[in-house]
Amino acid sequence: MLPRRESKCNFPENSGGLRIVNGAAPVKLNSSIGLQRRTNDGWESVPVANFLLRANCTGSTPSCVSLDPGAVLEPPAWTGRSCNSQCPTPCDLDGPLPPGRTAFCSPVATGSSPSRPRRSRRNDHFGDGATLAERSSQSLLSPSHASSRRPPLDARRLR
Amino acid sequence: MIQLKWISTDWSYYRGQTNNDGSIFAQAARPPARPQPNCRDTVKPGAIFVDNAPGHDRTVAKTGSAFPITMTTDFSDSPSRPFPLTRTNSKTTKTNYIREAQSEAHFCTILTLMSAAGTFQPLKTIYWYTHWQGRFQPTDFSDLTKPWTIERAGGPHSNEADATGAIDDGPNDPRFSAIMTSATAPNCNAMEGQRSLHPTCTRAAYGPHST
Repeated sequence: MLPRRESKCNFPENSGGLRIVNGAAPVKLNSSIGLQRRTNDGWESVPVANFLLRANCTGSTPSCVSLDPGAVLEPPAWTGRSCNSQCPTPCDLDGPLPPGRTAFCSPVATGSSPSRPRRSRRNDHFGDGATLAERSSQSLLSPSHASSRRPPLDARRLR
Repeated sequence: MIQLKWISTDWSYYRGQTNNDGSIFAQAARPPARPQPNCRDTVKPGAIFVDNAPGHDRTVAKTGSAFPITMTTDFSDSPSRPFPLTRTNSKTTKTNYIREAQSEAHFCTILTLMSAAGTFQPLKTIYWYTHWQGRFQPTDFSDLTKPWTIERAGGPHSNEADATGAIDDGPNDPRFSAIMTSATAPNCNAMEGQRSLHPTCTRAAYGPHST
């Protein structure tokens, strides 16, 4: 069973920003943050590169990030772009992603807790309905309105 | 659309505040920093079609759709090249400041059909490029956040972008055909990320100073 206290995600004032607060057991997350966008048929993965769970834009980022209980991680905000997505990065193919509703995703590393799906009253969505535990891949952190025009973020529950 | 890159220029030159601070030349578009000149350009490594505008960068015809079928693709691109403002010269242990940089990228972009069986049919091709070259000078070496003096450098075509008109069919030059749909084609964005982290640096202990 998961502890009653759960990890939370919330949004700093800057659009595209993300803050992770781990109120639960130690967790290890894949440092690559994925994106999903809302379509008429549900949620689909969106290609994005160089968008990582990292404290800042200096130094290298390991493939997995460990968060102890109580740890807070606020990565540099998403720029809204597909390649130059967070920190200054040389890119050949790049551009602002089309306007729309976007979710941030970070896979829970294999063998890391939590072992059961996390249900939160706000900020979570589960894409095609698969739970975190069954999908070994997509631990969906929180939805975000994100577009090249950067409308305000909306942490409304989607399911 | 399928996009290939076939020309890369990426060098930068740094120099110290005084002659004894040395200088650095960083080459990022030639081996060993960039071992291969040509690559395919997608956000997701291993993908074939351009994928930087999901929902807009391709049309997928639904099974059973009646002909004629209108298929559209929106294409845009905005290459970028950040350079660090400073590098530490290992020969002098002093900070060297960026003085000049040049970056050029030439692309071949191909409007292509793909059948349900995975057969590609190129329809039209354009060639386009971006060129940048500039010189830089800090106004305050103790505070690099203050404005820098920036001037364009190079010749008449050193700071421009241009494109050809659409040419029928796809390219038949082996530099392109070998990597156009190959599963092993290098990924341009991945190569750019790697070479920017590890340019080939030539350091001098003495060089023209910046002030």
